[in-house]
Amino acid sequence: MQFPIIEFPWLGSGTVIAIIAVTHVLVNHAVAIGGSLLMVGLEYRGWKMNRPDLDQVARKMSKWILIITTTVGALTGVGIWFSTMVIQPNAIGSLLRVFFWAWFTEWIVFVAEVILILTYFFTWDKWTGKKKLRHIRTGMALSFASWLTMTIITAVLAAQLTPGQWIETRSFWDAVANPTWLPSLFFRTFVAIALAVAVFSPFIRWFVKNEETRATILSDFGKWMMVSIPFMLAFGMWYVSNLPEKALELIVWASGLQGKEMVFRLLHFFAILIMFFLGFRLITNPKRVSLVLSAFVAFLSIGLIGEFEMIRETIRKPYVIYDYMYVNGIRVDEVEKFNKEGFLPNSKWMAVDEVNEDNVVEAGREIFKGQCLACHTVDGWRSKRALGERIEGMTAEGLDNYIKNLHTARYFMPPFAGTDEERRALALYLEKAVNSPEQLDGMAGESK
Amino acid sequence: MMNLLAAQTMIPNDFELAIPGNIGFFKVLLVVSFILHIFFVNLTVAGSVLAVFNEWRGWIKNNPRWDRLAEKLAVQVSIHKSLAVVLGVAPLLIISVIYTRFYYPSTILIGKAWLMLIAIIIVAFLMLYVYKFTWERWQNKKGLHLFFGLGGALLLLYVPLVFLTSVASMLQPELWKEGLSIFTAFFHYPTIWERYLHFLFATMAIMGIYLIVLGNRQKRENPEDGELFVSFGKNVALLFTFLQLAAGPILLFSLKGDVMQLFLGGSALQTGLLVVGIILALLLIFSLYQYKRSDSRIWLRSALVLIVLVVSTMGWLRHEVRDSYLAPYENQAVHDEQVTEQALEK
Repeated sequence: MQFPIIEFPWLGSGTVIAIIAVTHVLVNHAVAIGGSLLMVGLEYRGWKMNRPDLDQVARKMSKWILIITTTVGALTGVGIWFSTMVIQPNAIGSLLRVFFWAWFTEWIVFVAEVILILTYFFTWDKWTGKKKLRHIRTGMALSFASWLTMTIITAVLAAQLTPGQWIETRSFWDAVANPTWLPSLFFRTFVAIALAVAVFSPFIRWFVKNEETRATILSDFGKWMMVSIPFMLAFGMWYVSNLPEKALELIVWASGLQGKEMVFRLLHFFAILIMFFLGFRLITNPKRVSLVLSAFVAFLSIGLIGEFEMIRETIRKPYVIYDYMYVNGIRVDEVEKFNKEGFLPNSKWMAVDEVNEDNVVEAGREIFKGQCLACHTVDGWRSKRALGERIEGMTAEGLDNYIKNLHTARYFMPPFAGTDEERRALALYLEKAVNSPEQLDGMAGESK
Repeated sequence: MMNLLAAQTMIPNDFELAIPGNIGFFKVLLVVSFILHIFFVNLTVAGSVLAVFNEWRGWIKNNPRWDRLAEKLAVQVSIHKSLAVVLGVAPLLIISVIYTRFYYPSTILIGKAWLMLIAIIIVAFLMLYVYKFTWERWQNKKGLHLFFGLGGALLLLYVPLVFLTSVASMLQPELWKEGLSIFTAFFHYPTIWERYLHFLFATMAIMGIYLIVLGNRQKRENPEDGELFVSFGKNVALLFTFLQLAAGPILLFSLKGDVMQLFLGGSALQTGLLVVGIILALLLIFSLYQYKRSDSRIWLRSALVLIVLVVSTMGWLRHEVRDSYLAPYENQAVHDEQVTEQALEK
């Protein structure tokens, strides 16, 4: 490990990134991309049908879209980067080198997006009458720019899971045009529309008082939903078919339903069915569609997008960049070197440089920080990742053997990278940390 | 020398993957995009501070003109803050890529405060939205209204300190220390407060000039309001540009000795840049003074050109400060070889 390490003993490092990232995806998909499309679609309908009431609702939507995207949306977007930079510096640092020019282009699109949303929002009163079409086109451009930001960043995200040819060629364009880029982009596009309908419908149902207005809007929303779901499913299948075999096998496990594949399938089947049902109700009976149903679907779809992101992150294990870098920041090609020369002598910021008789436990703790902390805690809230629960009662010797074969027994775990002494030190530290933490009190660097 | 060697055990090795482009070109991009970013940061921070100040002043003095100015500023802030954030992406991207070995550790060391910025900025922006959108509705609840404005402004005033800590501490790896709280870090690493002072004055000076432009446009709608905004802008711009004559040297003398020397005759480039910057700043003060006295457009135009030049020069200058600090560490590999050679000769 080359960088200092920050610890989140209860939350866990991964959770910190996840909270920020899932919030961002939700805002980005539902509000920035899907929401802006619904908004400008509404404005267009109002203009075509000469219905100022629709225009008013579109305007109100634009205010909330502006507020949400320029606060929570923008800052959690930067936040993903902020958090990976301090928690996963090896991964994000490497990705920045590979995708620098993609990110730089992304920056230009971001700036355009912000200028467009500000222009759109501040010209409602100015661009009316003959200039209305210009306003609508600005909205369309905004919607397109939001989508374009996703297009670029999806390339990076997809490449982490399926770097494809890049592994051999190290070429920028191979990294961008990786096997899951387009399927995941189109999948996300329709997810965004369906999610936006799900999230905005309860608000329209609740706050738009005029029944006629509400009915027109909701039946439009219903059509968006009905069209999006089949495309979402089709592109979703294309995406899944391009996943690495091992990642594919981890999907059900990653959802927390291991061994209950039927339950997993049924749950998702019904979830989609309910979304479809809402779309159907919105079209057939927009005046009387139930607020409870629309609110339920809103929460359900938020849950689904969160679940999708968590599964996508989990099935990539043991890698953070597939076949290139493990999730703890160690490159695949470094393991052999560390096995021979040691992990500690090849690291910086560690309290000790090597294992010797006097520092075994401390050395073990430093190795724990360097190789395990990216995903695990000792006693954090996520019991699956809290070693206190996972390995309770195991002896140092047993742990040592277990760690040696960890990556073959559980292939989603990275291999231990270090010498035999280092592995024993780690085992000894874990035994103490889990079974008799009081013995570690007062040890240098021990955090409570 | 000892420091350098000690620091070497903490400066990470670079990534295996190459930096995808020409470093010199990246540095130009860094300086230019940072200047764009900081310009809108200035308008956001000073805009929110002066909005609150003017609303308060209008309230106390029962003068609606100040209130109208404050409202104008609050609307402007809601625009500038989004541009400030989005324009910040490019400099952060570039500094991450070309100074990875220095910038990552310095930021990770204040990692939790760094992560808190996300929440702090979101809350600040939301408070400022409440502030802006409730102006009419809360005319009779000035205390509550001011609370949201002040809260947002104070949070925004805190943010630069954290950024300054990461960019100041990246320059002195020998001082890197784990486990410092952010408030300890503010005092542990040199130059942070001096940079902050220099930043605050610049922020106000730029806002002052911005107010002049805003006021002149306002004259078309409401001449008396416009006149008031312009004269307030003149005073703010002149006062804070003048104060920079103190804040600048304070920062200069807080730099590490050998780096400071480069700017005081030690190096033609660094010294030349500094001299040009100071001359431009003096000309700016002169122009602002003349504009205040004569109200002649030519002096305003001159001030506008000069402020762009001053900000650009200073933006470049601070980049030179960074590279001067980092030079010994960047050259360490070369240095090591020389030391070995010397040893062999003896």
